[in-house]
Amino acid sequence: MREFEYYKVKNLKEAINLSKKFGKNKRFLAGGTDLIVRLKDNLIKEENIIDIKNIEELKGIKEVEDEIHIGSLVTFSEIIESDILKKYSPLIVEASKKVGSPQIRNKGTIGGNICNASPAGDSIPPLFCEDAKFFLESTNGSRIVNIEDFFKGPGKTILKEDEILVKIILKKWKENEFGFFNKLGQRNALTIAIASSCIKIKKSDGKIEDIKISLGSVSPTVIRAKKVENILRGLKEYKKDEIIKICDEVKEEIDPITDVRGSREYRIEVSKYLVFEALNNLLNIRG
Amino acid sequence: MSKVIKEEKIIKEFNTVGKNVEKYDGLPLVTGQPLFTDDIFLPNMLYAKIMTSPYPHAEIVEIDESEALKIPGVRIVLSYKNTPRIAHTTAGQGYPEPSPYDHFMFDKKVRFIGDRVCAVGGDSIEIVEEAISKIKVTYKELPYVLDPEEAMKGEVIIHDEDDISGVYDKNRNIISHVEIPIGDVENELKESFYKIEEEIYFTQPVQHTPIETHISITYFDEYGNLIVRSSTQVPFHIRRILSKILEFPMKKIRVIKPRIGGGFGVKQELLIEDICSLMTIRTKRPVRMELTRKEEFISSRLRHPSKIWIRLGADRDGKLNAIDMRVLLNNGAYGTHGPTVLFNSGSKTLPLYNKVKAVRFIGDAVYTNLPVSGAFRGYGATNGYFALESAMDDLANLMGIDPIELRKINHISEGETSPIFEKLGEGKEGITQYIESSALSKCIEIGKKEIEWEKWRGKRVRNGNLVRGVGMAIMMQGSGIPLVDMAGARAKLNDDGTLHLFIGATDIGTGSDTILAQILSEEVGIPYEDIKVYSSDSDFTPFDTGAYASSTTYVTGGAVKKVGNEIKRKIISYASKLMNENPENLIIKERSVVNIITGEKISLREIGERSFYDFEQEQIEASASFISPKSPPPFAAHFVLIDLDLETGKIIPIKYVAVNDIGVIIHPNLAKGQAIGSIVQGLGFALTEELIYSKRGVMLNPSFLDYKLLTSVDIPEINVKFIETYDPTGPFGAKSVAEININGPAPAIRNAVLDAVGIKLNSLPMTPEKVFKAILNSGIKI
Repeated sequence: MREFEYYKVKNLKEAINLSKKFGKNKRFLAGGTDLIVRLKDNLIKEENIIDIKNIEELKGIKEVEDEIHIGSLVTFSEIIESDILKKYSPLIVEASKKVGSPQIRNKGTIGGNICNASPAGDSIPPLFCEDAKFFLESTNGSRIVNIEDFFKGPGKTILKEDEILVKIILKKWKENEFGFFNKLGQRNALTIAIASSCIKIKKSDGKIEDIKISLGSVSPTVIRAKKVENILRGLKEYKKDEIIKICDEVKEEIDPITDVRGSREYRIEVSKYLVFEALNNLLNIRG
Repeated sequence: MSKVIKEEKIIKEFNTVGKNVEKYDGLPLVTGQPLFTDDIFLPNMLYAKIMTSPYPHAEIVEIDESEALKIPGVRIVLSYKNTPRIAHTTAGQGYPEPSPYDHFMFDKKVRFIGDRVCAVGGDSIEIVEEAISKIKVTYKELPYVLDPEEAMKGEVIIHDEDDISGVYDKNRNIISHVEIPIGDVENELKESFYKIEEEIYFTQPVQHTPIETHISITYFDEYGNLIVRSSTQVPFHIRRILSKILEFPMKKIRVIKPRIGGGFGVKQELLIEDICSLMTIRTKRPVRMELTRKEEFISSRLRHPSKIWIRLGADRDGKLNAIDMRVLLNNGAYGTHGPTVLFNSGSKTLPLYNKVKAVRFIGDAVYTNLPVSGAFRGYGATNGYFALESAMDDLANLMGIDPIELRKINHISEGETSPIFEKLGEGKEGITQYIESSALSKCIEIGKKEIEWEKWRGKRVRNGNLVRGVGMAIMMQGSGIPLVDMAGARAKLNDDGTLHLFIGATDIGTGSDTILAQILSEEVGIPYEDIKVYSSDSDFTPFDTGAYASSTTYVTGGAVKKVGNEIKRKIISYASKLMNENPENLIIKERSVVNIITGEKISLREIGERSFYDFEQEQIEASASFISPKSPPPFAAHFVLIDLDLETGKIIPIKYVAVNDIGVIIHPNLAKGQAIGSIVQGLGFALTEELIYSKRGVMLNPSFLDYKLLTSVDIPEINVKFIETYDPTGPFGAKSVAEININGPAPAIRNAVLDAVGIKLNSLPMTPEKVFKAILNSGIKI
């Protein structure tokens, strides 16, 4: 392991000022489940590590009127055990259960998962379905961005050099909303998704009033399948053959790669069925 | 009192055998005592690391280590320039080893990406890593070959050295070739009503992944003896090979095996001990080397990837007429274990169907410029069974009969033999064997019931995207290598009436120290708690070939039973003089020698004490050795229930049933642990584990992130059952359990998929992607 400078900061201001000072030449340490592994493999070239674990402003899950605010340092175990999230935003709870292993869920943070910007980040597809907003802070003050504007590519976000993700803002679920998260891996734990799909549906009078579909690991970033959403919106009859045909459209919206976990062709074919299976769990599909 | 019941009759009664006694090393292990190789720290210890080849095949033109040697704390660099060139095999096998002598400590040529170039010893691992980055090596790249069929054309020659031996055909890269025809296979196939014309099966490279990677610490003791503390399955073979290749007197080498964090065959190999030892000899300092996980994947040993061709012929009524099996093994850059793994892929599988009129086995183990294959639990049988048991289901399918019925008609039974036993041995001819114990038929019946075969077979029950299937496979293994594996044992009586047991046998987490103490306890008639075990120290314990070939319970157990009998006789003989009684009337019971006529007794403590201090003084002790012309096979029938997800291709094992006949069971929990461990390793081999190479032979996934072992949440309910038989040649009727169960999961799951959707998956592992492709190609409606 190479040598580096280690800074443990006490508050957000200190963290932002330090990151302003180091610019690109720094990495934040939150849960460390990714960073420590890369440090040991000599894959980190930055020379300064800013440990943000003790920043109180980045912790906790709070109800704020019709919103839920999740601090970026909140761990996946905290998400899984949160009564607020179980009640008002169960999709992120389900997806968090699929992250790594108990040890990783105890240490790994939602902020780390988001800022790593991996297309395979397990917590990201549900956040797309929730139209999450990210509260960011830098030396220039704070701003709120929509999740759809945040990711730029694998490992790339719009975060400025001195900017920190403070919290994730979700809208509370209404009574007629339902969701399903589906992850295909090479095994059932400690696995990076070959592909994943997440669906949130709003039903009224037996028809799909609104639907959001997101997919992970099948494009440079997590994406929304808006064409498929548009076809499904307003649908009342759910026949298997027709739904599968609609799901087939998802192929037009994704652009996967081939790697050791799976080929491009497999990811394209299987995405259709992951979306179908999620729908199958939410709708009464016949035939 | 546990009992072995045969045909409703109690045939043996035991005191200690068959009981779940406390594991000998259980308490110190769970309380974290410093038991493992790395749990010592020696002052002035050097750290060693191997620099490996970045090319699949190249000549080393020059190694310039001058810059590295300038770094403070770098103490030694070893390469072909300053080490003895003595051809040897790294395989830890009985002497003379059946493996070719094609390896040198360091060579002028590298033969795979990960091969040894040189090694550095220094004051810290950081210093050593820096030194390696400063060593300049000039290579002359050579053409390379990764595919064994290409390699056999001989356009690239991987081993062209004059000073190697034991290779079948260097010019065509063939390490070992075998062709055993028994009867007229072609004619029998032609005459057969049902034929499997030619099915080809592929198995992939996988690694043993012991929790503890290879590690050795070497140092000199006060007398100038070289102490080799090493994580090995074969301490005595390590001592022998080290002495030869270091040209260092065997008398001055002491190999100590502490507790081991898993072996599975990968530690039946001299991999790092030579480098540590030579550095200690040259620097006089302790030297430690531990492979990283990446090095363990790339530069240690793997299971042989194989291609297996099978042809079967059967009568109208399902009686097999002929089996034709051809095996091609990719051995990688060195021939270690090549001939024996090759022979075992036939010798451990073909006798299972002994009633054929003709059987043929053709095989080649071939060099390529890939990482090296070696010994791995199952040892060729695992590859062979995937092919043979898959082909048996293909034949049953063709005939339209239940695959269980096909097996029942054809499998070997008690009292029978197979000509294969005689024709195929350990890289040479074998020894005729008659099966003296087998409950295979009963294993099949019980497993069939347990998995609810009739309820699921052929029903293709569909639940949404899931289709249910059920599959099975039967198998056998051996118990040691007949007339090769030998073990010694020694016991002495102490003045508190307890016994010390000394064995060379290598407990690598298997529990052999425990079960060997149980065998001594049973034979002598003293409590298990009164036995202290010392094992695996080449100076202080007798010889033992080591922990491989499912041998320890049977072979070392045989030696311990003999030594128990001998020391019992000596204790009674001594007591008879003290008690003035005929030895025939004396037995050992309740820590005493008891006169069965009068009830008079004298305690073992008194016997021990008086033998030391006041009456016909002597050390009461015994030693014995065991070698067997037999290798009684354990048998097993495996059954698996799966759900196949048609939308993703994922195979979800629901329930696994393994019914075993391993003879009399010495320790039920340890036996069950061996069975479950094998099945889990076999499930990984069947479903997820695979090392992937680039076109240049770079291993692409040498880490636990991308090499997918199954985790606890991937494992189905595993139900292990034992049907006890009594093998007359084994200690208290025991056979073996270490390997057999790894052979079942791959064919059983493959056959369950065949049942569920009619698709033949002949290439391992059966990943979701592979299965999904097959589903799409088959036109099954998803």
